[in-house]
Amino acid sequence: MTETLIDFDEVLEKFDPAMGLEVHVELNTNTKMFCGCPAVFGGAPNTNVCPTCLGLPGAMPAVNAKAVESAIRIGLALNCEIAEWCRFARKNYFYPDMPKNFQTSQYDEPIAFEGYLDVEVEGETFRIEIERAHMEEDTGKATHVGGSTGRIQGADYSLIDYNRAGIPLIEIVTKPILNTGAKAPLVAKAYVSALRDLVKALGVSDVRMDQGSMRCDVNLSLAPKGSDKLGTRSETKNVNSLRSVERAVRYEMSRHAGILLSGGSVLQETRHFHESDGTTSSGREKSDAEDYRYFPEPDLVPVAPSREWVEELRATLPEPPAERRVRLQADWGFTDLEMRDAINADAIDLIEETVAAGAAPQAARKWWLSEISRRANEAGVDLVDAGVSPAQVAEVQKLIDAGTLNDKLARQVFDGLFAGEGTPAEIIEKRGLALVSDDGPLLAAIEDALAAQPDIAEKIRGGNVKAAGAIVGAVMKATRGQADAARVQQLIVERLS
Amino acid sequence: MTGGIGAQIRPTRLSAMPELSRDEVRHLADLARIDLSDAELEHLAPQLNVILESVASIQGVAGPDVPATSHPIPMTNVFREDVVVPGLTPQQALAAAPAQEDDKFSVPRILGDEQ
Ligand SMILES: [Zn+2]
Repeated sequence: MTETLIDFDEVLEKFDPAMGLEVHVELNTNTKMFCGCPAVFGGAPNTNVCPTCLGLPGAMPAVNAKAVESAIRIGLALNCEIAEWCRFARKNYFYPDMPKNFQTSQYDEPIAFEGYLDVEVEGETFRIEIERAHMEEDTGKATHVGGSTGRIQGADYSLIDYNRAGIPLIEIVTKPILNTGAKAPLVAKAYVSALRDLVKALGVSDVRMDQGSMRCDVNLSLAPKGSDKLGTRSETKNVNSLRSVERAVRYEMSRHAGILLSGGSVLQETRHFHESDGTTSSGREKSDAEDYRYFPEPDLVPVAPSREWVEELRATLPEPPAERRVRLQADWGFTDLEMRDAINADAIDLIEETVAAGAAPQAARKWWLSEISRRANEAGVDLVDAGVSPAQVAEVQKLIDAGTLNDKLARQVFDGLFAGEGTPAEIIEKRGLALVSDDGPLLAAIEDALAAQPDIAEKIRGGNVKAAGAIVGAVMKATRGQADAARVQQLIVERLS
Repeated sequence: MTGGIGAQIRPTRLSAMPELSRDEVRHLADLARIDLSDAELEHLAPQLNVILESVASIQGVAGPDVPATSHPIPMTNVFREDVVVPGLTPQQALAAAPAQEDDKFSVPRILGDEQ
């Protein structure tokens, strides 16, 4: 089906967007939520399973204390209240990714509720209100076999690996995010980014969106401009990069507007996001499958964290990312604009690690925000996945500082790094990129250039130092860019004075 | 077990137990993926109503001073340390599976209700 998409500016003239973001964070505990199986996914199939996570008769769950601790710390970091008493519930549904025929989750008694996270977009602060953060377990992984597409439609049968079933998850749900207007896509991205930074700082999850340890569902609706009613929402599932969060919001705004302006009504449905072209397509419609018949899990007793425990955990919270940024900006001497660009590019951690590896802050900033950002954009990946590590950037910069490389040659070293040709030193060796540090060949090239352009030589002799630029250019050309331009300039002046 | 939001949210206490209609029983059967014929629905609906009436009579006895509970023993915070314990081998895990392939459980294709 072809969608009618409305230009983003026109959407904003006529509608106000409302968003709701649901983020699942997979905890990095040693064991699963309710059994002692390793919480490791991706190994040989069905190697990390036991009677409990396979839902075999008679098996009894037991709550992982560390997972509860991590949930409380996430809640506290999100300025939430922590429940004094809460229970797990069974979410009943029939789908073979949960062998028990229910997922153990929390329903109306989340461990954490009523919090907020402030995010900054282009100098403006938005307070994202958190409705709840609750504990649940991840599901198994189904592979659909047969059919032409490998997707669920048309599959002949499915194969299930339960290694992931039971890995602790925290689901963090926002209240409706209103009044963001044109910044809605950026606010959504900034929220997920800030949440990721926060959870990462807590050390309770790898929060790798590309690996599924952090997953985002984007709910979006449009209301006629100035109306205080919420429109019908769509729920776009598994939007798995920061860039995709922004794109999914933008696309759904344009798609909803297309439907509404043509007099149609938006279907309340699940949508799938497609990384390849940034579009969404219809998944299953919400139906009686939504009737999960939640009830309290009778095999587990309530969780009632003592206030003493909660306060102990509050004392373990790390420096909030927003405060950390203020500190880093001061340490690095970045202007507000430089800092904002670095935040928007999601480069703060990368710059920090590059500085820690020995590079000057401005040099680290320059490489991440220019050369590497450009390539990440071209490849359509997040900066962190661009294929270059902070240690490598620091190494390249060290070689520049030592006079082995200039910026131009350094870019060629990055070419090699992106192509996976080895370490910077290996690439310099293989590609023959080092600057000509020996004055001999430079002097020879200068002689040739002066001989070829006697009028220029005359001008320089006459005191016109600027004219040396033409000779420097000729020498750079002769050495295929591998000369240190400043050194060449110096040699020319010495030669002619 | 008092205080907190948990104390405020309890399973709904029904004052008068309504009759289950045949359509409601059909809906429940659909949710449970049980295929019932009209005759079976006719047969089962009154039986379920008998069970509901029995529950209603218990609820009549339990006044507002008797809190609803989800667990027979009033205890909280039964936790397990985050320590790995050996589980099953894939062979053990799959021993009772009706079908398997590549150490995975093979299940019939699933239509329409992807999670
Ligand atoms: Zn297990």
